[in-house]
Amino acid sequence: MSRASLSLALAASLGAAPVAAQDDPLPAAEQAYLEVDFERTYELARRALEDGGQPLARLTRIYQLMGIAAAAQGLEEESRDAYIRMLALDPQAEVDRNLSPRLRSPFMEARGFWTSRSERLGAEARVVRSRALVRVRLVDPLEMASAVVVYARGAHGDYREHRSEAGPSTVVELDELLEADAVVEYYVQVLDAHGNRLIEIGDEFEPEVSGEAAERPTEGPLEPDDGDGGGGALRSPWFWIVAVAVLAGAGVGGYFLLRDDAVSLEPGLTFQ
Amino acid sequence: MTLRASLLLAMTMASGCGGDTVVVEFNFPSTDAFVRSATIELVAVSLVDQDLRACPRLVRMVEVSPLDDSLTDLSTEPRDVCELRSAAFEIPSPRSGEHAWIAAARGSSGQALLTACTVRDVFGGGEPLVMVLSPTDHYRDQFPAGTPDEACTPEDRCSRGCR
Repeated sequence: MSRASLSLALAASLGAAPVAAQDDPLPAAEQAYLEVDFERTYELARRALEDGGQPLARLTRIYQLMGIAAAAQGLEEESRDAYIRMLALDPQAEVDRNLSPRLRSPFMEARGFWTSRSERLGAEARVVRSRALVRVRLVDPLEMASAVVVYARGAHGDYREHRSEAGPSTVVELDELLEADAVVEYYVQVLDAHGNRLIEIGDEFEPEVSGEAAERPTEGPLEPDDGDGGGGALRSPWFWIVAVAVLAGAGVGGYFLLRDDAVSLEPGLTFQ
Repeated sequence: MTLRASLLLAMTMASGCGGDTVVVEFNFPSTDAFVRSATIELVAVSLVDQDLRACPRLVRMVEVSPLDDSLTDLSTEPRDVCELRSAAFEIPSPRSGEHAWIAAARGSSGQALLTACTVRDVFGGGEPLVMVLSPTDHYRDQFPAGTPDEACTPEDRCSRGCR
């Protein structure tokens, strides 16, 4: 019995129906991997990639499966490319140390690729209140990113989606959300061409927050009445961070600095 | 500590800069290139339309002639290149936001010899703004490969002059 037919027999016996694979190819790819069917593993993992919408953790696993499966089929370049992308998403990712050297070799090459580079895939976002926008700065050495999506809302209301083409610096206008000290909650997703999430900054349930969050009414049990009703802001760590920044005139990394002050430039001279 | 780091640190400390100060590093390809330059100018163009690919176009423009004031958010105007050594080179404070920063070193005839461009949003506490000056076609024509090194050093150039 050929390997392929054996795999099919196993798949049938385990109830891994082709219909299920079409709905979500990743579990089927995992199953194929367990069955040592590397050709099908690669095919299904690639399908999961192209179906899109994968969160970061699943996307990392997809590239890992593609890396292993390609290496097993002797497709070293495809394997190395998959591992490079896997490590772009998760620099700490590993492959099973019990794999044969032939299957681990492309992974080691991928690690070497990133070791020699100074830039890694990453993004940072900050609210620029004076311009009512969110700026997302993206470092994308492999040009994997296709779109940047910012979901933002005020203290009340639903998230509004703002989508832009990916670039080194993406600006998303927030329109009427930035009024005075209004709170802004936002989260950011950097997507590849298939809509898979390469980078996630915050999420719907734990968004990034800009503004006087300490003065927002909080949900949950009321605090005991300790006569310190007006001191809520003083207990907020963000109050003191901004206060120190204002008094000392020092930058706070730019992420939560709400001012739009001029910066002083000093010249320097160097030779190559 | 390398010479480069020492020079930058000395300038930074001498100017008494605080947390809102950003160093603009003018990186010349060689001391000869510095000596051959007469003036240096830095301008910033606001990227209102977020055209992050503005650098090639702006560099081509500045190689032909200085940018018109209507295009720039700030300009140092052409200054003696030796002001970079003496830290007398004053740079106006920029407005916040993304800018294309263009530096141009010109020879005594006004021709652009070296240019640099980078897109940055400069803010307090940020990394230095590094302007890596590259030779223009005019520089390569005027000083082709094999041109003898300048006998004059930057120190000579700026203390008693070479030309």
